[in-house]
Amino acid sequence: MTYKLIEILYERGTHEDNAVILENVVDEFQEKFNKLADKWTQDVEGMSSTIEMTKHPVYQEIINMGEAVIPLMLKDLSQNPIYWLPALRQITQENPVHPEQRGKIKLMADAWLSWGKEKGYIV
Amino acid sequence: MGKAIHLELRYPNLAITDYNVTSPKSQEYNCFAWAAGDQARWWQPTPEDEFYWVEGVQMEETLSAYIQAYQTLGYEPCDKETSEIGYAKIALYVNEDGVPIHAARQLPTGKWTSKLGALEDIEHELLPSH
Repeated sequence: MTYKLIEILYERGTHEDNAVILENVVDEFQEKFNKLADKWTQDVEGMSSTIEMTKHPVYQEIINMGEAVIPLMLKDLSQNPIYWLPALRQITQENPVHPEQRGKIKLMADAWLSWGKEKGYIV
Repeated sequence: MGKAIHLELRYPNLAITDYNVTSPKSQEYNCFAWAAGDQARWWQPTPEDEFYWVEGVQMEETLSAYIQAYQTLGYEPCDKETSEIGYAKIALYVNEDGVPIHAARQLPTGKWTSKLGALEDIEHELLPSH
């Protein structure tokens, strides 16, 4: 996430205080994620197939936000565990879920939260 | 628990039929699990997402895979939605590509019970689509 934000700072080519810019960029990023997540949730929360849910263009847009979105997804996992499991798999190409946890949504979310702590996404 | 306007807005057919909300929202299980009587897991035959799927059944989103999954619980294909004494029935809904998108289970009263994605469970009449 840090690397991505630094790139943005360079792209802006400004002389403003970097800490303020960084804070604004983080806020903008969070806001973008929240808006997209709200729209997507509104459209798909009645669906039973995660394949149908993840085909949605807004979900793909969220995934395309890249690695920087991982902490935001992990943060939302306790409220909405089902929504971010496929995206986390797709972005990270990792799988911390044990076979006996498959389908047990809270346990799957817990596995991802432990993974997040291990990888330093959750402080 | 009565009716719910947010469900009627999402599924307009509900507004013109008799239905009743029977549970709070839950992300713990989906309609395919609920139809099988499982409230503890999200059923989905997609290996890359690591949800639950019945062991030994093809891991693909096809009607035949879903039929096989329910067959492991003792269900057999039938062509009538009417209630028959001594039989429990599951209705599978497919989209225009033939991919299963919903399942409902018949209750002894002849009505049906459905879990609506990550939303509530409802008791309802059999609808042409949800």
